Order: sequence, then C-alpha cells, then structure tokens
Amino acid sequence: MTPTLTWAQLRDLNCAELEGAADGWGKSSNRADAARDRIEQQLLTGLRDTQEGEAAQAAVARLRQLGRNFQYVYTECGLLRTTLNSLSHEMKTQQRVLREALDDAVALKFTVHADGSVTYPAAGEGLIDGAPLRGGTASSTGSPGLVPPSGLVAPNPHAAKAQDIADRVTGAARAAAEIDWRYAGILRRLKAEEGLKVPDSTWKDAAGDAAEVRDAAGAYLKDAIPRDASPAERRDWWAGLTQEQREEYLAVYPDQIGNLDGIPALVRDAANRDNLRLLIGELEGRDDEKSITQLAGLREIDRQLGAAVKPGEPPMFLLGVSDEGNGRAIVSYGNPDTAKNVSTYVPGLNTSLDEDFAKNDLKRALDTAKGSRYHDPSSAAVAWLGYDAPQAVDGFSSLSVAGDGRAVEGGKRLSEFTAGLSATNENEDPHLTAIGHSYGSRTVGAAATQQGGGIPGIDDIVLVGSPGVGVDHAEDLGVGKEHVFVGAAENDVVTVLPSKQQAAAGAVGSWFGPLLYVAGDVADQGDDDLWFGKDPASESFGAKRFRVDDGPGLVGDFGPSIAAHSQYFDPKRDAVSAHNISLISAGRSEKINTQEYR
Amino acid sequence: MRCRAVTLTFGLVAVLLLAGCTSGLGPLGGSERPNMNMQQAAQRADDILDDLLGKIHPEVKWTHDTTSVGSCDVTRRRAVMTIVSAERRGNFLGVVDRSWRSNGYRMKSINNDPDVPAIFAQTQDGFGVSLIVGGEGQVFFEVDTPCVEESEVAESTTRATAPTYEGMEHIPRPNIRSPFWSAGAP
Repeated sequence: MTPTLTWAQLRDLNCAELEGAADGWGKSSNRADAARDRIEQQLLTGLRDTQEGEAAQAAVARLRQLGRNFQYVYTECGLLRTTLNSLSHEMKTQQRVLREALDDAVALKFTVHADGSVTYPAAGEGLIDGAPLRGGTASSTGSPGLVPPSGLVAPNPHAAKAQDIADRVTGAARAAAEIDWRYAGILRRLKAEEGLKVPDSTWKDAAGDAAEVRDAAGAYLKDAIPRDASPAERRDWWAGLTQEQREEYLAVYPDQIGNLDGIPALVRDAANRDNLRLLIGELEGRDDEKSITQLAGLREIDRQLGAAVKPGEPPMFLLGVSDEGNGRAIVSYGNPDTAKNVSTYVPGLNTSLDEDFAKNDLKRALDTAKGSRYHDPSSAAVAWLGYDAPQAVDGFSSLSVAGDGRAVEGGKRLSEFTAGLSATNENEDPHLTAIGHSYGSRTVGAAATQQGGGIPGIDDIVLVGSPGVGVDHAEDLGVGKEHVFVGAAENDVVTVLPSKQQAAAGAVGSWFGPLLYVAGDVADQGDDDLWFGKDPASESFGAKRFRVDDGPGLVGDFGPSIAAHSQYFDPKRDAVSAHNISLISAGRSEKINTQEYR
Repeated sequence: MRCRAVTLTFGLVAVLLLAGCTSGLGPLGGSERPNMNMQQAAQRADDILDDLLGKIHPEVKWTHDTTSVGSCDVTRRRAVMTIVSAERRGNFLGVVDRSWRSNGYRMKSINNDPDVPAIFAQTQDGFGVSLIVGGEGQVFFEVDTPCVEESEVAESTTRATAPTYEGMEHIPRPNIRSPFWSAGAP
C-alpha cells in the first residue's frame, strides 16, 4: 500500500524546490548536448583531418563513445527534468485542493486536526428542545455513509460541510502520497548502468524510460502536439513554445517531433538522432528478419551521420526515422530550410528501410545535391522513404506495383512533407522539385491529384522509370506541362509494362503475365498505354522528355532488362540522366538535354 | 545494389527468373564485372582524373570535391579552381574532348549549351567520365566506377593543386587566374 503522507506535509511541500531541481537537470541535459556537439563537430573533425595511424583511430573511437555517452546523458537528464516538473505539477494540483479545503475550514471556524478529521461547533436547533445541536468531528478515515443520520434527529448543519472538508483534505493527502510513490518508482528506474559504456541494451531501456515518463507526464506536459493541424500551423505552434517547453517536448516526444512535418529541419534532425539511437536499441535484441534488416539500414545511416564531413560535402539532416511499416527514413543532404532549391526523391518498387536504401538511395540523393550545387550552391536534396513502397518479393504482377493503394497513401504523406518543406523554408520563393522513381512516380502522381493545385509547394516534377502516373496528361499534375520532365531508358522493363487490358489478354499465368507480355511487346512498339495509364514518355502525355542512357540490353542488344530500371540517378552508369535531374532541381530546367519522344 | 536478375528465354515458353541478389554482383551476373573492389575502383578513378587533368595545358588548379559511395560503386569528384573565361570555354572543352578521344574513350553524350556545357564519356573498362560546367563557368570532373565488390573507400592520395578548403561546406567558385584560361574574364 502507499506510504502515508500527512496533509501538513503536503501543505508545506515546496514545489519550487522540485522545479529548481528540474531546471538543474535541464541544464545538465543541455550541457551534455553541447558537449556531444563539441566532440562531434570540433574534436573528432580536427582529429580525423590532422592525424593518422592506429593511435588516432583509437582516439576517434573513444571520442565517439564519449559523444554517445553524452547523448545518453542528454536524453536521461531531459527525462529527469520533465519527470520532476511533472511531479511538481501534480503535487501543486493536490496542494490547491488542500488549500481550498483548509480555507473553507477557516471560514467556517472548523478545526482540521493532524489526522485529517474536522471538528465543527454546535449549531442549528434540536427538534425537541430547540437547543443548538452539539458539535462533533467528521473524519474521512472511517467508512463514511455507513451510519446514516437518524431521521428523528436533525443533523447539525455543519456536519455535512465538515465531512466534505475532511474528505477533501484526506483525499488530497492520499492522492499526493500516491503521486509520490508513483514518481519515486519512475525516478528510481531512470538510472544508468554502472560504468562508462552505454551499450545498445541501455538505449533500449532509454526508450522504455521515455515511454514511462510520457505516460506519467501526460497531465503536466500536455500532449498538445497539433497532429491534425496543417504543417504551417504546426510550425507556428512550435515557434510559440518557450525554449523550456521545446526542450521538454524533445526529451519526452522525440519520435513525434522528429517526424512531424512543419517542424524546422534542425529540430527534426536533433530529435531523430536520438530516435535513431533509441530505435537501434529497441531493434538490437530482436531476431526476426524485418528487425535485422531495418537494424542494418539504421546502423548504416548512423555510420554516415557520424562520419567526418569533408570539404564541399552537404551536411546530412535526418528528417524522419521510424520502424513503422517497411520502415521510414528521410534524409536531406544540405539544410532544406535554408536552401533555395530542394528536391525530394521518392523511391519506388522494392524500396524499404534496409542497408541497400541506406547506401544506394542515399547516394542518389547526395549525387543530386552535389549536381545541383554545381549550378546553384543553395540546393539540398532529400531521399524520402516516407511510405510503404510495394515489394517485389510478393511476385511481380500480383505485385502491389499494379495497385494504387500504396501510392494513394504515400501521396498523402508526400503532400504533407512538401507542405512542411515550404512552411519551414526561409527563402521568399523556394524552388521545390519532386522526383518520382519507378512506383515512386505513381506516388508523385497521386500526390499531385489528391487536392486542387498539385503537390504543395512543388514547382517541377521529374518522372523516371515510370510505369505511368495515374493521369493521361502532364498538365494534370498541377505544375504546368512545361514543368513535367520524363526520363526513360529504352530498355527499362517497367516503363514498357503493358496496360492492364493487354496483360489480361496476354497473360498465361497471372504471376508472370505482364512480363510475358513484355516479351511480345518488344516487337510491337508504338503503343503508349502503360500499367497506370498513358506512358509519360509518349508525345500525347505532353511532358518534356530528357536524355537518359539506354542501359544494358538483356540478351545481347535485344529485350528489356530490369537492370536498366535502377540506373537513372547513378552517374556511374548514367551521368547524363543525373546531370539533367540536377539541372531541373537547381531551377535551370531550360538547360537540359532533351531526347526524342518515343 | 537493389538488383534482380531477370532472364527471358524465348522459345516455347518464356522463363522468368527473379532472383534477389545479395552481393555486389553486377546485374548481368558478373561477366562484365571488373575484377576489383571499390577501393581499387576508386584508385582507378583517381588515375583517370590525374591523367585527364595532367593533359590540360596550360595547367589548371583543382581541388578534391565530394566522394559519394554506394554499396558497389564510387563517384569521385574534382572542382577546377582556375577561372576559365567564357571566351576560353570552347577551347577548354576542345582540349578535353581531344584527350578523351585519343585515350579511346567512348563519347556518350554532350550538352552543347553555351553556359553550362557538359561532356559524358566512358572508358573501355567501364568507368564513366564527365565534364560539367556549372555556375560562374566552374568546371567539375566526375568519374563513376562500375559496380564492383564492396569495400571501404579511402580518400584520394593525389595532392590537390589548389587549397582544399577544410571545414567548408561549399567549395568556392573559381578564384585563381591563369593568363591563358582566364583571358577576358572580369
């Protein structure tokens, strides 16, 4: 049972001291954050740039560990701060209840005793003799209501009031004792392992700590995060918070703040670096395939975030990360809030949060950022894995690639994201580009048609390796057809997937029907209907087609190849296409090389 | 590499193979894959860049730019810090074009825009070589490796001939004058 706490103790409790302690933990948290920053930004960079050899490598490893430790200190101190503030908040609520009860007692000239019982004076008149009724004592410790007043005896009018006051006094003291007990438990569990190592298992505990503090602090740090508001409203909400409130939200709700469109990029990045540690800690102990795959991807992202930034390299911003669905990761190369040009690359078929995404899709974004910066240094490029792309392991045509569902859902998320980009971008008129690759182009198409006026903030649309975008004309994408650009290699199997009708007619077995048809379709050019509508590279679609490499043929020089499908951004295989995408992203689309319509 | 090998064999039946591919194996099964790892490929890319810059006379000053690394390929970059004037731009492109052709590179594509021209070529061993003119006439060179065996990739060991701009997010626009290449530049 909960330990006892007297009402006098509750009355005398100095909550300002609790808040003072909370401030102290807050300062420690901030200092740890600053220390980590200093280690990562200055010490590590300096060491890596100037020193070589085993000793230097060992020092770098130790410093990285130290940086991690500071990050852990930052996280836990932040949680302690919010826990103490929340404790103070709840105690103050009970103090207020107590104060009001005591004030009422004084006004009525009742006496409140140390045990919470309340004595009231004689009052009223007896039914028989008319004399004032005797005073008495009301207490909340017994079982109130078990002895109902006799109908023959009129009660002292004070009795009910005294009982009410006694109930309130005792109730407040009991509630305070329960709060005290609950928070003592939380604070006791907010402790670190002995020693200087902060292994992943400790980070896993940190995730649990955050969840516990979040539950406990619900009354204090109201979950006022405006999830249903527009990204612009969320930006204003965040701007209206005090520094302390922001720090507490970051400590208790890093996963929400980090993934919320409309929150500034620097804030999201800081929150998501914590989320990344917490997620790695959580997934570390699991042995299912999905967790292992995602963990490898997260570790690779973590490695890149921790690597020294070289001259000329756009810094990385982690704008989103979670293990939702097939996993989420949104990475920007260059600050998307300060860059005038921001491109968002939406990957497609078969993309999920794994090592492949973390290496190759991120390389594409980095290459786009670099290519754009050749032309305009104020450029950033985002790899946006903010939706569940279809996975080919399900089979090629049963293949949800043939369904709209993922694109419709992804389109909504994409619109939120780009609305967030334009809300937080500091330039007067930022230039935003959406790049859809493979099924990602269908997602871009969905985003463009879900609400009037196209994709929020988007000025240019690039479609590569597209199986169709869900509309028949470029002008239906909301940016004007002169701002829709299509790259397609002749040998790309996805861009020559036949339409559903053709597939139905030509299919032998539904699993490989469409591909079978491709075989037949090679000899039968000149049809411009694809799986999701008009071939965006066709003349009737009306987009500008830009030059891409044809890619390696499959059988000698004949036939389409899946290999050609993933080379659009990769300068290693197609620098021409990457160059054109970079020009468009940098706002210089008038300079691209065009290719014949097919 | 997100790669799947697809084989279509024509005959009585079309046979379709969709196979997940776990290593850095090229999509064509490795038959065209140079027998090297990413570090060796990056080294080869550095040699290509050394060669092409070495053949530009009078010399231009250059600095290292970002290396980007995938799971089986590497892109090396260098930025030219010598001012190449609009007047000399065609001259510069001509020097590069001739040197690449004489090396036996396959010329793949050009962008003949007067402000931001570009040349894309490929070496006989499958490395992409690009010249891109960017903002303020700055010239960039890129070399893309083929897909090779995964490995760590070290920094280039070639010493840059211009400052290396340590700690700077942006490499500046060209700021070194050459009596020949900068002729007519403001």
